[in-house]
Amino acid sequence: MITMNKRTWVNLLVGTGLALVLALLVDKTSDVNHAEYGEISSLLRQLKQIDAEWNVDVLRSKTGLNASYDPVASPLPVIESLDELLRSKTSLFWNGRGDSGARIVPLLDNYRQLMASKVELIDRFKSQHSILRNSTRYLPSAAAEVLAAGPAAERDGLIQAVDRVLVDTLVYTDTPDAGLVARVDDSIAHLRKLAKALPDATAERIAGYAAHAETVVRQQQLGDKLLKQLAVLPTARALDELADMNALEHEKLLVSQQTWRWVLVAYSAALLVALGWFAWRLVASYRLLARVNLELTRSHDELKESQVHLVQSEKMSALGQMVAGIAHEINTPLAYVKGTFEVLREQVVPVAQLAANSVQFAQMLHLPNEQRDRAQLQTVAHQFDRSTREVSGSRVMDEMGQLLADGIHGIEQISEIVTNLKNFSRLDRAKVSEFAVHEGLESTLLLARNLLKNTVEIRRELAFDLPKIQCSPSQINQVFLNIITNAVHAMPAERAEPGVITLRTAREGDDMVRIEIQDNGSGIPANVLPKIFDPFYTTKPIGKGTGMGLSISFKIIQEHGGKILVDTEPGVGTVFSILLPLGPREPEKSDKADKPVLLAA
Amino acid sequence: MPWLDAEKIAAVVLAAALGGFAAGQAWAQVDEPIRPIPLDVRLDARKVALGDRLFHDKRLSGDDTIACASCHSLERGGVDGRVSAVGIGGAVGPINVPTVLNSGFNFRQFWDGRAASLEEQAAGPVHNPKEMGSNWSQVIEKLSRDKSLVSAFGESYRDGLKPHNIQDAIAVFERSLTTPNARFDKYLRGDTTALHRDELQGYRLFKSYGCVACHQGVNVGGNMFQVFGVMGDYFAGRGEPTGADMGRYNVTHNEADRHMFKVPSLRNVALTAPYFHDGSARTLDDAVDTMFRYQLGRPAPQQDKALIVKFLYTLTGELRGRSLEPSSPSHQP
Repeated sequence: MITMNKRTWVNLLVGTGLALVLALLVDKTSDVNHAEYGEISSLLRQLKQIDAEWNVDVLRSKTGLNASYDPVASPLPVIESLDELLRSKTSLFWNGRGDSGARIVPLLDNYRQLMASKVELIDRFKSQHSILRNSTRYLPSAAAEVLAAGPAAERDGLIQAVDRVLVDTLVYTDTPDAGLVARVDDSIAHLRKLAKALPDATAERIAGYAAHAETVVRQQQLGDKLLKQLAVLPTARALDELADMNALEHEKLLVSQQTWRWVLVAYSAALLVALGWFAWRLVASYRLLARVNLELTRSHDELKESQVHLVQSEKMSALGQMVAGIAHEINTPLAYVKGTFEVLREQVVPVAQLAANSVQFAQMLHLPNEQRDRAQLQTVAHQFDRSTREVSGSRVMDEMGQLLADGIHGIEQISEIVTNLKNFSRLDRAKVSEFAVHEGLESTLLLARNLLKNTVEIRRELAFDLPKIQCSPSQINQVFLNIITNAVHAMPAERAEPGVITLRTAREGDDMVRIEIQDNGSGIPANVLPKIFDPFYTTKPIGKGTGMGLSISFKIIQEHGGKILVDTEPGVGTVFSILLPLGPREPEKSDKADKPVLLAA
Repeated sequence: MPWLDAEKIAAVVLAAALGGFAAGQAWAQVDEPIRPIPLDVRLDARKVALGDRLFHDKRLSGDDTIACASCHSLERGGVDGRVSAVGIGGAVGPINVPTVLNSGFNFRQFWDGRAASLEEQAAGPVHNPKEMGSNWSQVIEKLSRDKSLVSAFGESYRDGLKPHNIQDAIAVFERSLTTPNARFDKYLRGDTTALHRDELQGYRLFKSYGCVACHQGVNVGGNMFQVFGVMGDYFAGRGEPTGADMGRYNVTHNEADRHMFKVPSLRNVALTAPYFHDGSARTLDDAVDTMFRYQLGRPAPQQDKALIVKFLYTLTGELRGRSLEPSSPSHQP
């Protein structure tokens, strides 16, 4: 689980903020879409071209060069679709930028309005032009038809009037001068006046003819007006304005993009500098770390050395504490042996006497008969007799044999203690060998015998077939001794209850053994319990303990890959449980450095 | 006087010369005011097929009785043969049905030109209460239950079954409904034997009388507006004015657009009786008569009109390879 403290949060926020600024700058500099701009330019160009061609086609229709109105009608769908495209592209491209969009929109609207006007004008033009064309072309025939139907009598006046109308009208279509309109109207009016006097059939013809002439004039006027309006319609200019605005906006965007680019460069440079500084700091701190690490390693090695020495010195101290006891231990059998020898010395005296008397007697016997003094012989024989009876009667030999056996036994005892001492004091660093736990316990008990005296009862609940373990025997024995010593100290002789130390061994799981040393002493109070494994911690008065015993024991067990557990109840007793693996094992690494496992107290 | 006669003679000679020239020209179509329908139309076949299904789909109407094809029947020259359309629930529409054939060549759709494109037009009848009486959400709801249709939409359109895609598919299909290879088109392409002499004469008269002034272009019309009653008041003559009679005025509300209508195409005109927006002319002869009277404003001998009608019959083309001309060789009105 990642624990986020405040500092980490701040760093994260700052980092995110910097990244966001960077992203923003990158976004701003990559913003301008050239393709969109290009497409809009191209669309506007196309529209302008179509617009120009359209103008030409209108004129071609007017002059009759275009045989149909298809060219003039056909741009419509193209313009529609282009307009659609323009609408969508500009909304895509420009609407994202508030003020630019506001500038473009009125131009677009203006253009659209102009185009709508143009479409309308051209539609009218087509209608107008067809009518004009038809009536113009019909006029000469109509004139002839009128004259063909007219009476012969007034032919000349009619002819003239009809002529005049035709000429004036055609001249007007050729040169549409406003002044000529009046003339045409005049001619027509004159003709109509004449028609009144004529028969219906002719009058009808004349009416039709006059209508066409009037149509021609009207449509010509209309056509001129339409074309004039078309001519001044600034669609091309509107498109130019749009194109200019498009380019201008594009320019502006490029400039602003350029500015943002500079900002981005500066920002990136600043970030790089900051990064460089951090990198330098990182390198420096790594170097520092390396140096410190080296020192630490050295210290650690030294500490390890010290630890070994400490273990040894604790051992010695423990041993020192026990010297008196050990001395006593040795003294007892020693005194015993001494006493035995002294008795032996006494016992030897009659045997020596016997030996002397035997020699005297033997000598006497070896003398020749002639030199043997009977009275002397009897005295010696009598002495010899008495000595023999003293020795055999008192069973001195048996007693001597017994005494010697006892003496040897005592010496053996001393020898054992000496051996244990030797083993105990051996300065072997974790020399692993096979170790029989029960033997170790017994030899430890022996060493501590003086301590135990007769006031402490030892009970044994030992496993039947406890396997041997691989360990450093001297170290493990040291641990046993320490714990047993503590146990004894917890059960002072003065108290009423007799002290009992119970030793238990058992297999633990597949790969460990459990050794329990229990006492019914005073127990460990709750406030003391957490500290018992602390180095230099002791509840004993000054000079009575170094406070290192349990600390070192814990270390030893830990390095064997085992555990020490404590279960205690004040007023009832304490159990120390030692768990050791059968085979050599790496000491468990734990986060809680050197904190022993305490069972519920 | 003599110079007038001379002019008349000159005009006749000129006309004759022109006519002869036109007749003899192998590339007659280059300068002719009418162009033949292009022979190849490139369209997305899947969309055409989809549009075909939709065009004949009655679910586009409110009560599932009317499809586009109900009024624009492909068997009847793209119209229904009635004076006015009959819509949902027998509602009689206000206007004569214009043909769907070659409608892709029209510069606008509807008699009053209110739709700028076939796509736009397709929505009109669907929403008209007197025609199909429905709306897109209803239609979409019905069609979205049709799995094969939905998947067909998915194939052709990224966003699947949507109104603008329905309109698009129908429009693409309608664009496929061209009728090339009318006998007149063949003539325009240089087949001088495609027309009888009468029919050719009829075409010349069609031009010289000025019919061609408005009925020109590839669709013989359909590319401009014109007032109905140029040289006379048609509506006064006919009486009983209706809203539809106002024509483009209904769209622009501009006085100048009163009685302005889109000039209809004359292609396949032999099949699309009755004629005009009000269906008032039952035969082509009637129609030609009306045109002469009110649009051209000039008298013409009956013979000339008959020849013009003969010419009009040659504008009937082929739909999907099959000629739409009636099987009898005589082209009697």
